[in-house]
Amino acid sequence: MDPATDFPTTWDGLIDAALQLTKRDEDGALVQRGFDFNWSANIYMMLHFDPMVMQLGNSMIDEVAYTADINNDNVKRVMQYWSDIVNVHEIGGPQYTVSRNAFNAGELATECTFGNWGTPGMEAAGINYSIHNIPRWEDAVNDLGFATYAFYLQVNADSPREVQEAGWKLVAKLTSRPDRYLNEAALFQPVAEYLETEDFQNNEIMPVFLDELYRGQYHPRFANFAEVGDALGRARDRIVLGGEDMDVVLQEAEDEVNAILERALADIEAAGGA
Amino acid sequence: MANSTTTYESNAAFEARLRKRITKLILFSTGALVAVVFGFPMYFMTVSAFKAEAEILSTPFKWLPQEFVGLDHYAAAFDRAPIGQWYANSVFIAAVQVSVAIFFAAMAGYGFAKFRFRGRKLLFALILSIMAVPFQILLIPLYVEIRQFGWHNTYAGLIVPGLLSAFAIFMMRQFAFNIPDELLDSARIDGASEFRIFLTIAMPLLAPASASLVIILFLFSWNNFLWPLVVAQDRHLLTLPVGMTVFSQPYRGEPFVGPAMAVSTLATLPVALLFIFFQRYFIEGMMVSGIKG
Amino acid sequence: MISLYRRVWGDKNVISRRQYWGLIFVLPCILFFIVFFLYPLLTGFYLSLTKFTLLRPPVFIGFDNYANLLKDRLFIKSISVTLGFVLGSTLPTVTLSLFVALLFYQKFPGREGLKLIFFSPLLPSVAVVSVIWVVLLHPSGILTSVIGPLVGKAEITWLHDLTLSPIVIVVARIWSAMPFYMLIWLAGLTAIPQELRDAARVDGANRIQSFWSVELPLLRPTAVFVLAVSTISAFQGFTLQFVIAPNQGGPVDVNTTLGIVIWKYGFQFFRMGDAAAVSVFLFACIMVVTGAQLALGRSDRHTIN
Repeated sequence: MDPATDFPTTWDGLIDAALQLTKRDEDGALVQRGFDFNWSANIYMMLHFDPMVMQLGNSMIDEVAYTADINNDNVKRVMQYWSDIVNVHEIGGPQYTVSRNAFNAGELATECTFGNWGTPGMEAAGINYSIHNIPRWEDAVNDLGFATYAFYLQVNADSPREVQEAGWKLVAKLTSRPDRYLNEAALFQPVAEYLETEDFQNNEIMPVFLDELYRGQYHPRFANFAEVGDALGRARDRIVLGGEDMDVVLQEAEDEVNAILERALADIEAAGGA
Repeated sequence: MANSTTTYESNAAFEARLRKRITKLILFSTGALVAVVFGFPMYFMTVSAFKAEAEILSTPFKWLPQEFVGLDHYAAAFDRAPIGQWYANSVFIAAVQVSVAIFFAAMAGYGFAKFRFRGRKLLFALILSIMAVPFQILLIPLYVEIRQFGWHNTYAGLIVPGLLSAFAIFMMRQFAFNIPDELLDSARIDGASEFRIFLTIAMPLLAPASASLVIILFLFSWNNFLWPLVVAQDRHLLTLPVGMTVFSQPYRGEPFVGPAMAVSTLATLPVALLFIFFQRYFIEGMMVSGIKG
Repeated sequence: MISLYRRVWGDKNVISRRQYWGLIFVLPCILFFIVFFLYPLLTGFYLSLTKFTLLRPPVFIGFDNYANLLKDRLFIKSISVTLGFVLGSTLPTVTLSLFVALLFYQKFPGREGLKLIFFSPLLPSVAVVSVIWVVLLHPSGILTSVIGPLVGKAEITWLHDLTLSPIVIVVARIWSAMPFYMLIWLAGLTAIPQELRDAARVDGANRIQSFWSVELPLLRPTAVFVLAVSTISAFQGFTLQFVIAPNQGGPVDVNTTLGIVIWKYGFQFFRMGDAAAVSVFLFACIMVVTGAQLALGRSDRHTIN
């Protein structure tokens, strides 16, 4: 397969490609996997699983109302997709080497958690790689890829005036050299002037990331993030590994996450926040 | 008739000897089986550090490396993580904790054993109660306290809460009971101060008695996992047990099982040396402390 | 000597005043333990009655944390996980280690060497044990090569199987803990006077009868000690579950012990009050075991002297 022409644009296409790229030894043990999610950290339930849900409609978490909607058809469809990888196609799962490491080890053909910062590692490992947009559902209603980490520089508006002034000065300083941040620290600052420079235009890998950034929405932003991720990861594993009934598990997860968010909201209000 | 009796007797003797032999053989084979099952993981660790990565997990298990890779995995491990720094941290923390704990435990044990001051029983009850409270109970409040001190993510935070050991005081008190009063009193007659008597008479008698205690305190410190896990954040502050767990996961495309076994071997080496050279004290110490418990 | 000393110094007050040196000697330790034991122990109870996220000062909320724990799914799950780990590891460890102690108590050629090999799990720290077992439990690793053919599988996902995962962690635990308990049993056996055994043999008892009638009753204090120590330490199960089990205590919390819950609530969710309440619960569990140990008779502490 030629990645330039054959790279799948849909999730169903990804499974077909992954099946073609999967290699087994004579005992049936996997030698090379075609595609796998990252099952290691629960945070990927927010960064990867949720965007797949959002392509079909609304996010599992309403970050304004602080409520969760998890027991619905879109979540079930995405969950089925994740589960099929492990239980139907048997091409991946949490028991295998974590996706990034497996990718750089040449044991995994397609990987979806790397950002631009992953490329030095791939080069060091001698991997011949190419970067593509995240697939979409054929009937997707929202056009977005996966979320990755973002850092915000913030100045506390309640702090004394001189602290705020110094704070803004520091922010200005930190954002004055997007070229060095990108080339030396692999941190991307999407500043308009920088995007027009030759330095950025010549960058071979950033256009794909920038394209996704244009179309995507950064989500989610809410308190008690780790706890919600934990609850969602538990729900995923109960279904994918435990084979439990999806309706029951997702409803329990929804109640659990709603309780976590309710507590988070109460904490924020108690602290005088909005 | 006489002849057959002798034959009968020698048959009986032969049978007894045979039975004894068979018993020994059964005992030996059972013992060997137990030893192989329990010894295997440590043998696996040691030998895998010298095998090529693909060979380590390949089956059937090869008892000796088919392709001897020398110290490659050790070098790879040092490349991947600051093992030297973690090793130094663990050694430093253990050295400080053991020496301070031994000195103050000797002092307190001596105080409890050789003086009858008011409140002695109550204070000793406190020491005993410390031994009954598992560390996990203190984890949260101790962490909160250490943060208040500004010791989060510092050597002070790693070391100070483990500086003294109630168990060591308990043991030192037992040892101190054996110090003859006459020795102390004659020094008093010579006009030595109480503190001087402790330093020059009690301490030299207590120190050799505490060989197994030293080993046990070292193991406590060297093997400690939970506290450094929550206190140390910076990579360079990690101790060996906490840091080395990164080796349980693959890393890039590089061999990881070999380096993992190399680091495991390195982490076990000081303990193995203690075991080989001070086996008696080592085993005594384990038994009194219930460390593996 | 005492009398000579008294004659020289005469004054009884000097002697009674001297006793306060004892206080001076124990004082550094006492002060240390007030700061690093009593104070945190008490604040632990207090924190369990507060809402505390480390960012703002603790807010007193009475027994709400405890009430919430009663309906906290993870906490309730962790009780059964912990009990499973306690029972699953303690009973086999205690009985198997007695068996091995009896074996190595017999005389046979090669005994000392084999015993040393058997002791090898005493050496690695729990972190090392965990890393080794992660490798041994590789889906297509050594353990699979032994068990796999029996069940016709090329890969066994030991750690990601909801049933197998807690079992293999118990196995790792038994492996690492057995030699220690065997040592204790062996010391108990050695302490039994040979004359008692000989007397039983003279009375016509065979080896097994003599074990049941003479040795086992005398091993009672050892048994109480071994049971109590292994139960208490299994209640604190943490490192194996933290390092070996996927996602710290997973999958689906099948290895989430009380210790893992304390860590998770405290250092992942920053719910210090809830974590402190779980700690208090764990404390109560361990005190029950300690109480049972004391009630079953003073344990033999196997002191050095």
